[in-house]
Amino acid sequence: MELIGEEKKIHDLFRELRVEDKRFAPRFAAVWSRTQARANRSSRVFKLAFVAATVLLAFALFSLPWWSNRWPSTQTAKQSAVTPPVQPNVVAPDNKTSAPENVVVKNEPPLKPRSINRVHNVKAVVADNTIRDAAVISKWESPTSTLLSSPADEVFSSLPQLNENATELKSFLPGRNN
Amino acid sequence: MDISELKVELEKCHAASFGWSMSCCRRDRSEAEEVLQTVYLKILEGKAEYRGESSFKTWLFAVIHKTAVSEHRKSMLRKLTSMMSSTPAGETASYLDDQSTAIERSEEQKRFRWALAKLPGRQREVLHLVFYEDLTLREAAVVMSISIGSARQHYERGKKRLREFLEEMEVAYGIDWRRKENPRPVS
Repeated sequence: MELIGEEKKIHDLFRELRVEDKRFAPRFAAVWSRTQARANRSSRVFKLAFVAATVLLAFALFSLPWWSNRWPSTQTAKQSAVTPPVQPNVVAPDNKTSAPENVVVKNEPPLKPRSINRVHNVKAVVADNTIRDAAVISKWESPTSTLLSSPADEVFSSLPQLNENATELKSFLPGRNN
Repeated sequence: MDISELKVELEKCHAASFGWSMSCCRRDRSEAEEVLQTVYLKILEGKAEYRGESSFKTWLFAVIHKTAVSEHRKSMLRKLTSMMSSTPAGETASYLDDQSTAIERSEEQKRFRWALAKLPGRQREVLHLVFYEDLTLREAAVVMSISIGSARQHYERGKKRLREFLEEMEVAYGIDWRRKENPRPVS
């Protein structure tokens, strides 16, 4: 019985609290209108963010093919910047002792593709140049390579044969005159 | 349920929703209003959708409870990050610093509020749902997202503690509120 009395008392106290809350509760219409205003504001912000994101995405999508076309020419330009200008177009002279002043350098105009169709032509030109350069480099000799050669090279590089006579063999013996 | 129907239902439950929001926000009126507005916004934007699995009121109260908990966490985080420059106001203080203190309350109601504020959150909430909103323990359990066993336990403990607090205060004030219910001659 005491429990029921307690419960009733608690219930009464809560009821009193409820009456007071009800008296001071904000009007539904006011809260609802504020909510709608907030919803409109947030949707406007969302729309703006959506538009901005869409524009950025579209820009990225359209710039992607442009960059992919631009990429090989950029690479070629970088390669030409890295390789020394003398090497690719050197025409090696016949005279091995010639000075570097005699080196003839052919300056070709830099490749500047202006349209997408020209990209393939540029690629072909680059491939030809590479082959030509490789051939030139394989034939190239250092200007100081003559210093390594001497008149006695032939003697050092030959061996005595079994059927040679003694006079000829003497040439291989150390000189007794000295 | 379309927006116009929802609006009608929300309007019906508005006062009760505000009371429940007040309870979830430790009787902070501005926070309660903010929570209620956020709940309405969630419903308006379709983030909270009523599927008819329980009564509308139970569902609405569950949404309010969850929103209040998340808002409370956010506000705590904000307070923590703002260097805690001001002295931290206790739960009891915020409870009593309610704007509605302007109205004249009975001493008993004041004491009751103070005792209610001293209760742990879960106990206070279950008592509120049962006594204030007239929900069953099962519905209160659904609203609070706990099992009915837990709800019952919180209910019993809350009631016991509330009685103890009120009795303590009665001793301090020299009043016996149970005397009205069970009048007994003091020997």
